[in-house]
Amino acid sequence: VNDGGMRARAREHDGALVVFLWALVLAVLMPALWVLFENRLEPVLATAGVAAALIVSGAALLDRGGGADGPGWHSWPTVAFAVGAALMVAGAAFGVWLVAAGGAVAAFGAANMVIERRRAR
Amino acid sequence: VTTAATEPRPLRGPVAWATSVDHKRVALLGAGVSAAFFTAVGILALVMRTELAQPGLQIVSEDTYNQLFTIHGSGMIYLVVTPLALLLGVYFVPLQVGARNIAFPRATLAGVWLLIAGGVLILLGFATGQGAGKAGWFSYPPLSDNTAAGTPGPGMDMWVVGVMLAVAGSGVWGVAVLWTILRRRAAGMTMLRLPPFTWTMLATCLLVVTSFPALIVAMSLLLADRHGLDLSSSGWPIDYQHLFWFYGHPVVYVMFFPFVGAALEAIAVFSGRRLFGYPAFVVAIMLFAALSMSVWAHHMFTTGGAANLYYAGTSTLLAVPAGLEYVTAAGTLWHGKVRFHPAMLFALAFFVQFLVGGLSGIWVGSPPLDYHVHDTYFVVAHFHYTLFAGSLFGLFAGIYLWWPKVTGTLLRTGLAHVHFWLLVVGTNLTFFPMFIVGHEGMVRRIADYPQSAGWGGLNLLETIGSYVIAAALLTFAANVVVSLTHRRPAGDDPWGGQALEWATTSPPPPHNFDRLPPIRSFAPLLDLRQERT
Repeated sequence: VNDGGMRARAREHDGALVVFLWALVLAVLMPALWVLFENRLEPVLATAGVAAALIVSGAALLDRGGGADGPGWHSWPTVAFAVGAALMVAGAAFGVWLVAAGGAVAAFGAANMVIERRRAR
Repeated sequence: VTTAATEPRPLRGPVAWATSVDHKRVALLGAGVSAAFFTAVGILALVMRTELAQPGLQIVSEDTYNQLFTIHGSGMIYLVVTPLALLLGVYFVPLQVGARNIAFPRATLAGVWLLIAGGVLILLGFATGQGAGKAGWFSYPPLSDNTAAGTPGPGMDMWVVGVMLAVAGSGVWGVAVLWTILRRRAAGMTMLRLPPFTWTMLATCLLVVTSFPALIVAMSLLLADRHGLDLSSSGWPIDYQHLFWFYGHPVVYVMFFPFVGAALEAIAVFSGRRLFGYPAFVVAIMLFAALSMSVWAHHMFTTGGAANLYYAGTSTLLAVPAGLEYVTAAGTLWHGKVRFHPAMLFALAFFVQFLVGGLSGIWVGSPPLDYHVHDTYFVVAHFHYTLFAGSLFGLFAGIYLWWPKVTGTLLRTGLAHVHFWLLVVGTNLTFFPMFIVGHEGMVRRIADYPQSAGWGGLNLLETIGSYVIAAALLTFAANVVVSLTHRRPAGDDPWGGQALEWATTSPPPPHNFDRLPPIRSFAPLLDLRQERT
């Protein structure tokens, strides 16, 4: 049966659990190896990276399933939002006017994404 | 057995492609964009090789040369190979796990547009007065500072912002594919029934989630540093290198794991056997992913700012999971009914040529040896054997394997063989002599070298090799054009596939499957065939 993964999403947590354990092992193993080799604990990076994996896998573990993801097979507001966001980031280097213009485009896209989702429901 | 719900009819034309949230169309749109970037930054490589063919040519200025190697390197990493590796997953992971669509389809579409925006910004730098970014693909400060001694000008700013956007786009795909594997699997598709390619994508996406944010942080700080935030008194250059390589080494595996998966799928299909040692393969790929998070500062041995003993140890340990992957490939071939289809040839070449990159990696993973070859062409040869001879051959193994599924047509076998052999010859002609000149002391990122060094002959060979590579890629492009204009229908499963993507039509419908076969192992279609016989 092609249930689109809905049953798997609602019932099976083994995948998220595997990843969660992987991140957990890393979180313990990496600092331990570090101290063992160098007698010091240098970067916070490893911890931060592992934390990101823990957050994603933890969120997946807690996900109880839900409705369909998309509004259909096309979404122009998504494109508007992405382009607007890109302009905003570029504005950090090239001026506030670009941040404002990008923000307007992104807000327009985001508003239409909300409308799109409501229509889908 | 039931069928999927009725779906709205997809739009047609360019707007439909640009706005589609069907994971297959998103992946193809992104792949098309990456192919365009590949052409652009590949041409830059040809200009560089032409410049270096003989000493004293000076076809381009030194300043232009700096821009060429920067945009070639960063383009290939941020705009081409990383996106293509992840987009392979965007297309095939939902199919392989039996899902209707990818998780977060709109975010996945947004990722393509971030890639487009990032790539355009990076390349537009050439149109600015001071030129494009020219501080190398990792752009260490103080060379990348906004000072006269660094890299002033808007082109470098555009490079920084472009990298942030492109990497953010790739990061989104990583989360979407990971979430699809974790929470969109069809009933019966347990973790230990995931196809090999999907396992490699899972490892890849873990690296994306864990390491990509570090680069965005590094680029944000670099941008702030260039625009007034003074970081110079805080050990910034070394901190930047740590941040950069915390992304920069895992991304090498992001550009490798998916192609290991594609090559293993090709080897299994064209050997007529299921993958040998599947549980060991799974353990190896996860170990590989974990270790590859722990080796980043082996790029910094010579700085004195890294714990060399630790990084040499973890780097050398990588040989263990890598060896296990090779055993998996060899064990699958053993007693298999091997068909030397182009996909199989590319898969075999992938493993053979990557071995050269891997073994030279053990060399540069040793601090004393690395001190000798650091910043020389030896390193250029090493990473081109991993990223070009490795990744590109794995990508072509995947393309020749899955082309019929994606397009419903067959590529021409004769042209594929020409493509393969030209690429093998070109690759080794270009990159193997680099080991020699690098060992002899030819440093990288120079627009010229002295006549007296005696490197002219080997450099000429490398340049000829680069044009052979270009001929190989043109042959592939011709194959694509011929196959799409004079279509030979492929059918749903022309090779005797093993994973779920072969259980649907070619190309698959928007909802992917009308029905799914029983899933009792990581090769459900092979199970079905074996039950029938």
